[in-house]
Amino acid sequence: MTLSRSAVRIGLGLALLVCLGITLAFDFTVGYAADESSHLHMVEHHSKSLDYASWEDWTEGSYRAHAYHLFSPLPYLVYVPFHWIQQRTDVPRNRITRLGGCVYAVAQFWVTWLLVSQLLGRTGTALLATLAANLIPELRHLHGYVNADSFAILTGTFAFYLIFRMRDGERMRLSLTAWVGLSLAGLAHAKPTAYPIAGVLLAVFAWRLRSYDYSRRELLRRIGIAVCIPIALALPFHLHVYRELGTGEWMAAATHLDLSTTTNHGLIDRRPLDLGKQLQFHWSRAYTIWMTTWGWVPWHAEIPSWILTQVSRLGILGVLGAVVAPRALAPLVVRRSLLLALPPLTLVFTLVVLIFQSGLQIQGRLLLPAGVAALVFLILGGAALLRRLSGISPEHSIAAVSILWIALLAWGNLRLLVPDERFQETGSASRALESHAVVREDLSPPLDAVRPLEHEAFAFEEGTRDVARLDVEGANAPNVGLLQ
Amino acid sequence: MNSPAVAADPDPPSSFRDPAGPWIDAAIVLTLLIAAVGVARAYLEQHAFDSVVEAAYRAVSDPREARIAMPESMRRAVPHLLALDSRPILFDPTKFSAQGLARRGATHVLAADPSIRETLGTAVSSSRPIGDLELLTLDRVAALQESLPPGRRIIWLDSRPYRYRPVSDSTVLENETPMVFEAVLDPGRYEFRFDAFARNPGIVESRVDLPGTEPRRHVLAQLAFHPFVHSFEWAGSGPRRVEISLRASLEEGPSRPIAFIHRAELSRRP
Repeated sequence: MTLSRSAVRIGLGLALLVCLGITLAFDFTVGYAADESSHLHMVEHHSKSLDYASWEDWTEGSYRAHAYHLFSPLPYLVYVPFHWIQQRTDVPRNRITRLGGCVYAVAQFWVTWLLVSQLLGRTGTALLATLAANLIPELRHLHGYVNADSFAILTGTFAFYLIFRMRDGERMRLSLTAWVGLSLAGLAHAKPTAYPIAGVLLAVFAWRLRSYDYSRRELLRRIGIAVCIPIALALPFHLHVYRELGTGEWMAAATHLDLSTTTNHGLIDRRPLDLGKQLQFHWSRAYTIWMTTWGWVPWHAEIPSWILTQVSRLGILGVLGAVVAPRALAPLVVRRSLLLALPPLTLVFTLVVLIFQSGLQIQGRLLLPAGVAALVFLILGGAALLRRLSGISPEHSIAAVSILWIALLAWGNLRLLVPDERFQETGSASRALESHAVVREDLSPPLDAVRPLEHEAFAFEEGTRDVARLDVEGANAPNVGLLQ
Repeated sequence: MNSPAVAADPDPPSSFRDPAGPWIDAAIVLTLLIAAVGVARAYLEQHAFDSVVEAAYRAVSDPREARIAMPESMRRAVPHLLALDSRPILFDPTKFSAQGLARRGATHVLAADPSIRETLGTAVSSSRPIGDLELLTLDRVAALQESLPPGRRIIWLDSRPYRYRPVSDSTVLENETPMVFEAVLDPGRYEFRFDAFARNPGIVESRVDLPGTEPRRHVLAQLAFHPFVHSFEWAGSGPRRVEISLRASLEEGPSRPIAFIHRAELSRRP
């Protein structure tokens, strides 16, 4: 779709307004997200101190299910100025603090645009595809409440932009190298689920360096910049985690799930389970992967689970096939063959790392940081398929798929902008916590007896925060913990 | 994906030359040096007590059966002891008691300062130096008879003995089956605290077998309310053996009706 430059700019502005409008609407319609109180606790801490949060603040009460004090302060700093204003006003329910999400909404839109326009050029088609991909984090109200996922998704999307920005056979400018370093630093400050993307970015960076004949000094300088920027900006944080954990672990990743399953549930025992049995278990409930990824739609309950299971299994096999034989997908390529191979590869890599990192608990939402890039890719792949089937031009096929995607999302999700009893679930925080335990405990047959995971993102409970506050206030002892 | 390597640009444009190159190179080297020092320092700090606890482990007669208690400040040594197949106990030097360590299963105590030995008093049967520290052998029979001094505490269960990775599993409290904790107490005011979680709603009742104390009922509501407290006073005379019990009454549901006890402790008010 060919549009003039000014028309594209106007379109960009309008699309951004749509995203901001959705963010603001969710700011006011979302009750209490299941884990928002813990994130608010972090914002509260960082509004007083820029230092890392301490264990003591998380020792008592339901907060201890979330090891967010082991996370970087960086994702929360955006909310801090808004929180300062919040504390000086009477606006209820942290509505103003949540406005920090608008910053993420704008940044996310811009980064998605960078990624899509890198692939499709600055065209009207790219604009539509950007809006379609960006509607997912918006409609999953990622920017509508306080969380650390927004930062992870933002840095993940930016990393994918850089992956496509670097080109084979081109001399890499130092500025681009520095952006790679900054992106790696950002990913290192994001949730552990973003770390595998950093690995892929680093691998692509090395691959691109290999394709140009630098002098040794030039080569080392570029490697040094890309490596030293994250070292300088993120290593202090990881050293803090290493010292804080005191367990010899360098990342908080393993302990986050440990904490959520142990301190609230007492399921500390991590006896090794038979791998075959676990794979059989996860294969049998593949539909929960569908439910917990961004392919989830509010009307999924109306679709028989066996259909979702088969679709999920086909999806898994398709992704594996794309990794094993990326060239088989070459006919679908919009611009280059790497386009189709990398995101599935990253998704699988992420999944494999996380599966083993989290004790073989497969949760699709852990793939969030790669989500927007995966959706861009999905749209382009779908458009290429449509083009093959129908013979229409690439521009029209991309536009058609984007419009279809937007329409589907709008139909399924826009009703969420209106407060609805259906989405004011109660007891959800407990169920969300419980879901981890279900996975751990019920890994033995009969597999049919396993209940599906509850979905956290739509789990709002009016009283959750009050319960958490009571919980913490009731714990008046300075239980530095664990001691005799 | 496989692009042929491009030949070197014989005379790159001036925009490609890096005038700040030497400064960038120096900054890179400096950053790497600082990072290496930081990592090495963190690693050495993490493993600072490894040799001491290993020496203590080798010094005890039956290391696999022994449980070595050590001050919380040495918690960095826990992974090393776990790797040696020994499950350590951490204690707060300002709150621990001889009876508490004995009830927790400690057989030896690594003392970092003389006050620890003073607190243990006659409950120490022998000692030997381990580096700058002292390895004390606990006389468990004597320790179990020592009353709880004011301001001190007994911890029977603690599934989180060091910060994040639990050393031991939480203890399962079966439905309608009492779990009993024993202590020898002097007259005084006490506070029994425990952490519990159950997926099925219900209550946990705590009882203290002292005259004049009423049972307390604590509601379990799927979130880990923490801690539950039962305060009581023993106004009699002389030391007495006291039993404190917990009994869960949980509703039937999709999950097995059991409660998890993460921690149980008794402290004497100063």
